[in-house]
Amino acid sequence: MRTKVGIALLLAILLSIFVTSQYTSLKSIMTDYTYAARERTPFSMRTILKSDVLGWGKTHLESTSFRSGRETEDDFSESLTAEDYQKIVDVKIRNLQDLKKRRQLNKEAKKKEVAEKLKKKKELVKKILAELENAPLDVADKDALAESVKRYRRTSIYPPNLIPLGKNQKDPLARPEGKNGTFWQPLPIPNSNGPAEGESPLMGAYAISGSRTQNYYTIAEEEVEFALSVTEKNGRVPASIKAEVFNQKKEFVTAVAFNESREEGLGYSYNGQLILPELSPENLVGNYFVKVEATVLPDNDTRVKKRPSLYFFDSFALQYRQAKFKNKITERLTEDGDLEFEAKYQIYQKGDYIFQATLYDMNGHPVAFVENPLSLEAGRFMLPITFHGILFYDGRLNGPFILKHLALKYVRPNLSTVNAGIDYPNHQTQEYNWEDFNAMPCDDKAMMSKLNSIESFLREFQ
Amino acid sequence: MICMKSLLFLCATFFWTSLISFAYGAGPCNIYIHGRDAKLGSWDNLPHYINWNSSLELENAAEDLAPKLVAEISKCKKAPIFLRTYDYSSAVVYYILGLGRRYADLYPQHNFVRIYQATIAVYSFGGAFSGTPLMDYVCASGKSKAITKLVGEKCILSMTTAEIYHPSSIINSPGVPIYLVFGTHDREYGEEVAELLRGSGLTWEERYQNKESSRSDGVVPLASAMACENEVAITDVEGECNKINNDYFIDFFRSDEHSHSDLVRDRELLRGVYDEN
Repeated sequence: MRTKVGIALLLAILLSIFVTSQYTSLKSIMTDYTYAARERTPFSMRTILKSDVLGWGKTHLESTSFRSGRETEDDFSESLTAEDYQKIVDVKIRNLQDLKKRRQLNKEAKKKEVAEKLKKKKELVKKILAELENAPLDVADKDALAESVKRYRRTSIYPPNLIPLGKNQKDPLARPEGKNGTFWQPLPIPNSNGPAEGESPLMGAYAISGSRTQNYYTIAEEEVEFALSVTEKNGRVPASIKAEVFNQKKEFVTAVAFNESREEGLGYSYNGQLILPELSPENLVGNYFVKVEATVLPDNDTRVKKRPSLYFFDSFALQYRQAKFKNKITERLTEDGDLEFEAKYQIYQKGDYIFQATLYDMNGHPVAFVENPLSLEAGRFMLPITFHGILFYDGRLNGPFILKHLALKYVRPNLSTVNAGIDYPNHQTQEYNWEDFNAMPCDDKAMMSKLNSIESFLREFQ
Repeated sequence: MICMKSLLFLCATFFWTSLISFAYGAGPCNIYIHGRDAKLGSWDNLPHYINWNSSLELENAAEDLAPKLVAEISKCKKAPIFLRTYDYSSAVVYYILGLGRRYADLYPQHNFVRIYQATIAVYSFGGAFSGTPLMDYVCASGKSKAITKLVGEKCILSMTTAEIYHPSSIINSPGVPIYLVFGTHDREYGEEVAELLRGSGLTWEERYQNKESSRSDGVVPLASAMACENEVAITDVEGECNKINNDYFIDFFRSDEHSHSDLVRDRELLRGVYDEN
């Protein structure tokens, strides 16, 4: 008797496990069925296959489908009675409740894990700081070590390639607006007669590089232009300009000729265009500087007869295309809760690259900068770049966000990079809640190793 | 016999204690790195001093300095590494650390990565993080003796105000705290020098209209020594300065009695003894 009861129980358990495992399939089938019934459309074979069901549910409904050819609500009710339907709904509700419970438990377990991890880090820092108090070190050394420990603790929750940016922090991929070009400040001009009362003996000159926001130009795609004016107290004055371009080795490359123009109310201005020597792009790539000598022409209105020359310089970089952004961005929240983007690039040259991106909030403030070294072959690729979820979770940052700037820079063997310009995807993300993101602090191994080395030093030192 | 054993034990203890204190010194291992002019400063007889070629441009300077630095770090055994850098070497070290942080996973054996991993903190004395107009002048004309005396005769583009050559246009985070030590005394001003420096970071019109002056330590504008974002003029010592990176640049010690050269002529200050009175 007991054996029979046991077998019955076992069968019941196995059956319940089986029914639970079919929950998803049934849910999907029911959704399709309800939809089909509501729309009064045939519950066709195509619909069943689309529901991607497996096992019992699929076999049962497929056979139903094949039997009738064109499924309707009535056909379906032939195979599932109201009682069956109620049972399925009950199982569904029960399973949903279980799932909710499990999720809640997982969330709590993760929270506990996060709290423990943070607690461990805090304890390590507390321990080091306490040991520092008693260490027979100079006060300055103690201060510096203590401050370093605190900084490392704060930054070690982020991956080393992620830099959170505050409201007042500069986006590394953008130059501040209105700061286009370089400025140079004047030398005093020896005035033989001395300055008149209330008159400044100074004059100034400054160079701007047009409307560009970067000083990086692509060979064969962009032209390098210079704009210049020489300013005195009464405005922009006429001058003779001599400009020479030098490469990074400080070798002369070419001279730039400036054209004079005069605008009513603004005075004189000078524009020049760089004409490159006929060399292969590889030989033209690099950083340059322009040495400019501006000599103010004699003016009948001023008492100053002899004018000294003003020297200043501008700088720019030339590169050729090693990669090109193809204007396609995708985004997703990973299983861990990190925000991952993929950007489509055409890679022309195989090699190591550094892929950089900045994320903004909807108010136009930079949120974070991230960079990712990649080894790439030539071809077309979707390149990934990830913002670790802790950035949003820790900062209570809700989306949407804007992926504003991208840069893919070729890395030379000495780890210097070829400045390849900035791309502007301006991709707006979906809406996110800060709680959707990964709460688990990152383990920056280098930082933790530094903390541990300080700790072991103090231990052995005492 | 027991006395003999005790004596031996005492000797052994003394030996190990001495060895440990020799290995660790009196604290962290300070490595000193001179600036643009190797002769400037009280570097003699410092325990860990690096002589490097400071007339090279940033990328080459980093390649020259890195192996020397790695060799010196290996002499420090397990003591925490503190680098003490001055003017141009602050920029070069910042560049090395930043690249070391960036490529730690891709090139774990690279000298830059090894330096980044070993360094606990940097003390930057009058660091030229964003260059000086004096070097602009040397690179553009180089005709003034007063100016070339201050920053050398050789044009170093990384030390000019042209941001394309600055480490901060390449590196965004050194990954290591940099403690900024700077002076505000401008006794190294000559008339010509003063004019060049005062205008730094402001357009000529602004300067002319507002009569504002950028503060400096006599050679390097404060905006540069305090690692402010490029083209920011500090017209007042208490003025606002947004750091290149808020997490890692820390205003540590300011002296109103020290000019640029004084920062490393004062041996006590160089060694980290700060008299704040």
